[in-house]
This record gives sequence, structure tokens and C-alpha cells, in this order.
Amino acid sequence: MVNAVDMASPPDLLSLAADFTWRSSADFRVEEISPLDVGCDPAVIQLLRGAKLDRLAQRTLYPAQGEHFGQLLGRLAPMRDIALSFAQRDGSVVNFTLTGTAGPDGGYVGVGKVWSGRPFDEQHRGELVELLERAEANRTREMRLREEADVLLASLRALIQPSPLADKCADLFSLFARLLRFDEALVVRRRTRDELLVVVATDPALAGLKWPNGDIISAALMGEALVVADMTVLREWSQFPDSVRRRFRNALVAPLTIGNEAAMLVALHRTPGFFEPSQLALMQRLSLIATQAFEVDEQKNILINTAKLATLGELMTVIAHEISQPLSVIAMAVKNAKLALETENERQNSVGSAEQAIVVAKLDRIHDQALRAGEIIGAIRTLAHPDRRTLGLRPVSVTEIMDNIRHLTEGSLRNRGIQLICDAPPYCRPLKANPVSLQQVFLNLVVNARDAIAEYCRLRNEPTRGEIRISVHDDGISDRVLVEVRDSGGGIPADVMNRIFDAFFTLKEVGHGSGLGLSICRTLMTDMGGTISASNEGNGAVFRLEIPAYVEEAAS
Amino acid sequence: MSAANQKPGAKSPTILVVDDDEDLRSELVELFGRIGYKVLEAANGIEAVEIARDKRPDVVLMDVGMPQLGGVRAAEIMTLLRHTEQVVLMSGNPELVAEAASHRGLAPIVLNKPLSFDICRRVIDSLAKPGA
Repeated sequence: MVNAVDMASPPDLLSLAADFTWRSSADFRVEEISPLDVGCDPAVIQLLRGAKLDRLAQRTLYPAQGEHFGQLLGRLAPMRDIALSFAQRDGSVVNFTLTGTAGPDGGYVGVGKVWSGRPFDEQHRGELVELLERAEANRTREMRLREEADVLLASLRALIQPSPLADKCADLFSLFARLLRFDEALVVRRRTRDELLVVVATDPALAGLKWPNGDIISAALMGEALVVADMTVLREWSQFPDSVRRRFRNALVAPLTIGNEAAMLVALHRTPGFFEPSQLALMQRLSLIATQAFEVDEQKNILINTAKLATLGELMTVIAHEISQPLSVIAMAVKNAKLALETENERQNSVGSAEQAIVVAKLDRIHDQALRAGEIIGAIRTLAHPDRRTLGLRPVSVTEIMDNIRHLTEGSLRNRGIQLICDAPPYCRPLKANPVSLQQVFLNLVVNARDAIAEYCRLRNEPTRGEIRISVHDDGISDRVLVEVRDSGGGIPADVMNRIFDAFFTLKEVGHGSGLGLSICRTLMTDMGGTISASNEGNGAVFRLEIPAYVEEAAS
Repeated sequence: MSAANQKPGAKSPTILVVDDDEDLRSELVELFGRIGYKVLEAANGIEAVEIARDKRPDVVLMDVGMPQLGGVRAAEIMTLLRHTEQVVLMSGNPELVAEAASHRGLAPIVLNKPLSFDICRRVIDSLAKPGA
């Protein structure tokens, strides 16, 4: 047998760096194939041996490059550079090119070259790369999600630990750090009307820091999470203390709800643009967990508060009863003493000495003061007994209620330089209300106004001074009487306006308000068929009460 | 103000003062004595009912919160047995007492504690001396 290559391959074919030679019959069956190079891929040899080239072309992974086999076969022209790619069972791809020319016996002879690596088709190669990249991305994403899930789970575990809030937060922060890779993180919370404080922080140096009002807090209060790529562009940047401005440029912020009060979780980093918007969703999830931590703590406080209130209520009732008894005795004894003096004078038919007159005046004063103390005690007792509001509604004089309120608050208002002005028309229809409930509503509003004014003046470093005005408007026609309680305490911050009637919401310092006052007011007003609403006007808040006017049964 | 403003010769009205607090009771007894009442006293509801049965006072001034027999129950018994015409109760929670009494078909006058003697006297006088 003559060497087919030597015989049939023109030199130009051999000049290609061929890997194998081949020869086919006229019907394109590869009759002979032999590797020229030891490095030649045996898979290709195996694939081609005995295969029919036209069939092979149909099974090719990608359409043959160069001329189409069919056309080629039709013309029986020499084959040149037919490129084929085959996928193998193990997933790898075999590429080779065939170059040939018509052989002496009607068949073809030629050489072939094996190409390693990617399939020939560039378009498909692009897709493959994309697929690979997507798989890679998926793997990364999966890793990230798994880590997130791990952290979330660990956070939940930390949440249910019965440890104090500070420890819990430290645990949570260290877990969150694994995901967010922040330098420091902190929780900012509205402490009083105007102050925002850092209540918890990874760095103890940051705790207690006063957070300036501005863009960040406004966004958080709107319930938005946000990335601040560069904090220097913030309006409030100049108000941050140096310790913050030196260390941080980048912030990731998510709103947080503690009780009913808005707060926020902030992650800080020194590099501007370190946090990405894609981290917002995660941040929000973390803030939810942090919320839970605070919530649990808050619930505990509420429980304690409620227990305290209940005890206080009982205590007040007991004290009120115990004190009213001796007060009665004092009043009666004084009366007896006075009557004894008068009897004595009558017997002697004299008006008594000047000293005696003084004694009588003093006795009168003791008597009146004892009764006044009794009235105050009585008012306290009505407060301690909220169940009394279930008693029926009856005609109530609003001026009488205002007098009671004046009695109760006089002292504490005078001490603070606050004036209580009661304004009622000379004729005002009686209200259909429960006097005790109504008194409690008025009292709560006046006390709130008093505290608001005091706080307002304190923040301004001014001596406390202000005015609380209760005004009654009765048009005599409508079925309701309008009572307004307005103060000069700077008003209610707009962002909490819709929450002030919620139970346990308070703007007062921790430990100073139960957060129940306005909520009780609303309950009482609703029970009496009235309404209560709040707004800001001028330099303070206005609470507007609408109370049903009393209509005689016979008249209706 | 005169201590003994009662018409000479007229029979002095009788008042029964019921309170478990001895201090308050003795002051009230003294006070009503000064303004011309014949005063009886009792320290609890049971005593009060017995005295009212025997002596038939014109008016009973009674505390509500007392051991053994409370004022509202005692008032109910006295009214039912017609031992007296008038019962005036004293309480720190006048509304609650009025409510409780009305459930028993009573409509007593309830005075607020701490007591103002002037008010108390006006009320008692109007009941015990209808003509005065």
C-alpha cells in the first residue's frame, strides 16, 4: 500500500501543522485515519474512524464552519478547512478541522488538525461564557444568601437570649458586621421632643452622642432605608462632632421602630461609596431584627409600667381614704372649737376680745384648708379609679370642672411660672358627661401642657414661663360644646402627631411619662360620646375637645 | 352664727350618728349636740339598726364603709322596717354609693367625705326640722 499522504496530499496540505491524516471512500466513509503527532487527541481519531463524514456533519455540535458539507458534496469539490465541534460525554468539546482533496479512487484524502479548548462558534462561545459566569454568580449569591441566612438565624438566637438589651445589641452588631463589613454601627433614637441620641453603638465612644437633625433622620422617619455615599454632602455634616467626621464618610441607614417611636439603625464606614444600594434590602432586614430586640425590651418596660400604675392606683385609693378620714376629724373638731367659743361669748353676752377674733379667724382658716386638702385628695382618688367612668352620664358644669382643675394644678403651675387661664362664656349649657372622666381629661391635658412648656423653656435655656388657656365655646345651637386647651410649649413635632394618642407613646424623658395620658383621654372622650383632636397653632399645641351638650329629657 | 337656734319648748330632733371612726364620731356628736340635737351614736351598722329600732331617730347620719354591717345595707334595713324616715350617708365615693343604693331601691342623700359641716348641717336640718 502506497503511503496515502505522500501520494495524495499535495505539499500545501502537508505544510499545515497537521495532527492526523485521513482518507475516505467516495461516499465519505473515513476508511483510514492515523495520527501524525503523539499529542493528537485520541478521541478525535476514535470519532472519525469508520464514520461517514456527511453524517458526522449532521451530528456536529455547531454548524460546520467554511463551506457546508451538502454543497460541498454536491459539487464534489475539494474540501478545505471544514471545522467541526463535537461535545463529548464528559462534557468537554472536541474541535477539529479537516482539509482534503479528491483522491484517486473517487474518495478523498486529506489532513486534519485538532484544536483544544472552546468550540469554534464564537456566538455560542459567548453564551457558554455567560452561562459559566452566571453559574459562578449564582454560586457566589448562594454563598452570600447562606451566610445571610446563617447570620439571621444566629441573630434570632441572640434575640431570644434572656440577656439585657446592651448585650443583645452587641451580639447582633457583631453578627451584622459579618455581612455589612461596617466600621461601626449604631442605633439612634429620639429621646425627648428634640434630641436624637445614639443609644447603642459598637464603639462605646459613640454611645450617647447627639445625632444632628437633618436629611438622614428625615428620610429614616419617612420609613426609608438609604445609602449615603458621601456624608460630607449632607446638610447636617457640619453639626456632627469631630469624632464622627474624622472617622466616617459613608453611611447605610435603615428605619427602626421602637415601641411607637421612630428610630434608625446606622452602619458607618470610612470609605465613601463603600456601601452599595444592593445592601439596602439586607439592611432593612437587619433593622427588623434590631427592632425586635428593642421591642422585647420595651414590652418588658411596659409590663413594669403597668404593674407600677396598678400599684400606684391602689396606693392612691388607700391613701386618699386614710387621709380623708383625719381631715374630716380636723374640720369637725375645729368647727366644735369655734362653736364652743361662740357659745361662751353668747353666755357672757359679749363679742369676745380681739384675740378671740383672731383665734376664730385662724380656726376658720384651719377648717377651710382641711376641706381644701380633702378636695385635692378627692380629685386624686377619682383619677385612681378609672372604672368610675362607666357610671352614667349626667349634666356637668364645665366651670365647675375647670375650678377643680385649677385647685389641683394651681401649686405646680405657680412653681413653674405658668399661668392657667380659664375662659368660659357667662352662659354655657351643661355638658352631658361623666364629671370624673371629664376632669381627668382636662387634668391630663393641663399637665401635658405644663410639662411641654417646661421642656420647651429648658431647651431654650430660658426661665420657665408660659400660658395654658382653656377656652369653652358654646354656640347654643349645635349638639356639642367645644373646649380648647392650648399651650405655649412649642407644639408637637409633625412626625409624631399621628401617634400621640397611642398608648405608651410619650415625648417626656424616660421615667417621667407613662405614655398613657392621652390614650386614656381618648378612651374617656369616646366613652362619653365626644372626640379629641390635636394640632399645632402659633407657638404651641391645641387640643380640641368636643363634648355633647346636655339636653333635658323632656325637651327632646 | 348662733349655737342654739332651736325654738324653746320645741321637742329637739333626734339624730343617730354612725361611724366606726371614733374621732370623727365624737366630733359629730359634739357638733350636733351644740346645735340642739338629741344625739345617739353607734360604731357600726348592727348597733345602728338596733338603736334605730329602739329609739326611732328622726335622722340617721351614717358612714358607708364600716365593719360587720355597711352603711348601705343598714340603711336598707332601717328604711324597710320604717325605723327611721331619713338616712344620710357619708362616703368618699358618693357616686359609687348612690349607684349601689339605687340598685337596692334606695335614694339616700350621700355626702362627700371629707365632710363639710356646714353642708352637712344644712342637709340634716332640712330633713329633721321640716318646719324650721
